[in-house]
Amino acid sequence: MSRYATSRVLYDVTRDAELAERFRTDPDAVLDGRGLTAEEREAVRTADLRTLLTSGVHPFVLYHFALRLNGGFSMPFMQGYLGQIQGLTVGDLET
Amino acid sequence: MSSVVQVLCAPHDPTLPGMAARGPEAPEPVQRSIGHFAALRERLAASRPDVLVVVSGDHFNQWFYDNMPTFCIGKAARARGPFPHEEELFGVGRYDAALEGDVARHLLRTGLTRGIDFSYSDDFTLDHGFTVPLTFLRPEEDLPVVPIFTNVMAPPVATGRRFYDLGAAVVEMVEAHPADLRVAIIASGHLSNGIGSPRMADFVKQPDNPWDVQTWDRILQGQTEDLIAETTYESLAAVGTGTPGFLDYMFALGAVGGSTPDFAEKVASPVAPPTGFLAWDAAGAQSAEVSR
Repeated sequence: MSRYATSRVLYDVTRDAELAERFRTDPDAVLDGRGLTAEEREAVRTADLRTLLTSGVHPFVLYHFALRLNGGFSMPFMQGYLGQIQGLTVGDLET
Repeated sequence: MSSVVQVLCAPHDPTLPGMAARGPEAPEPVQRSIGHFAALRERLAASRPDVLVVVSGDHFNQWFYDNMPTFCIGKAARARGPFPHEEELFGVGRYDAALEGDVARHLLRTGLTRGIDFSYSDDFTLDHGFTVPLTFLRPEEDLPVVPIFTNVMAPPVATGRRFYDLGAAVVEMVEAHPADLRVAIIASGHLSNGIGSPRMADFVKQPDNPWDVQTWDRILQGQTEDLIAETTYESLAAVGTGTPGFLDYMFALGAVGGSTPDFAEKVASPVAPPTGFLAWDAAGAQSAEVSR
């Protein structure tokens, strides 16, 4: 598991509106050459928040990524986000 | 000789500027927070500073895992931000002021001579950790800023003792600056929060959790040694993954020698994570009081 490679994709998508749009329409093109394992790639491609958080992505990095995919903050977004990660505990975050 | 004329602690929740724009439509507890910002703005102005030293964590915006400084002094020509994606996602406004490069370089050089190895950067953007308090506390953008970035998010992170000692050292180094400058220190941080974690909304059910209650009590009662002893990244992260942002308040406590604040207001409510506002009218004089 490369926390760095996984986190880096989430970070890049968060910061770049154009990259985020490409990720929405053709995630595989964005994920090629990123050094992700098959499991990591699938978790990012499907924005599987539970798997990403469990694998040690920092909650703040994850939250920003989800915000970017959603296009900004709203209460329904927040409820959906929390619903997806409900019951998890945050473990070690060192990369 | 320069002097530290005011030390402030303020929150940087990026939703606050948008709430402030709603005026009386904003939830009442948030209006109280906005009011406390206004009170600190007046205190800051009354202290007539020439320079603002602003200490804040970055939120994986300027610094990421490819290059993560523990403590970093910004010495670019301008102190400006936030990032475009923060404007897009949170609607926070821009801040753009001069940067006091002479003081920044003084802290950097003097630090190195006494074993404080700051990183430095000549090319950066300040994220909302800096721009939100600056926007509330000095919207005029007329005072030069010296930003000190602190890593409070990406472990491993320095200890509470280290933040405290660094605050004390920065005051000593400011006082050793040969120009006759009046310097204010703004520590941007917060109390408990768990943004992005499953506990992100814990404040809705428990607005004032036991850690917030105890920590605020310790600040008001001057129990600084207890705060130093119990404050680490791990102890704070156990209360919420964003809570280590409190470490920047430990920097402020160090800057005032652990003395009790002249102004202290906390807002804990079910509508937003708790906010803590602190002010000390002067620093330095007390800095020898706390024993090791």
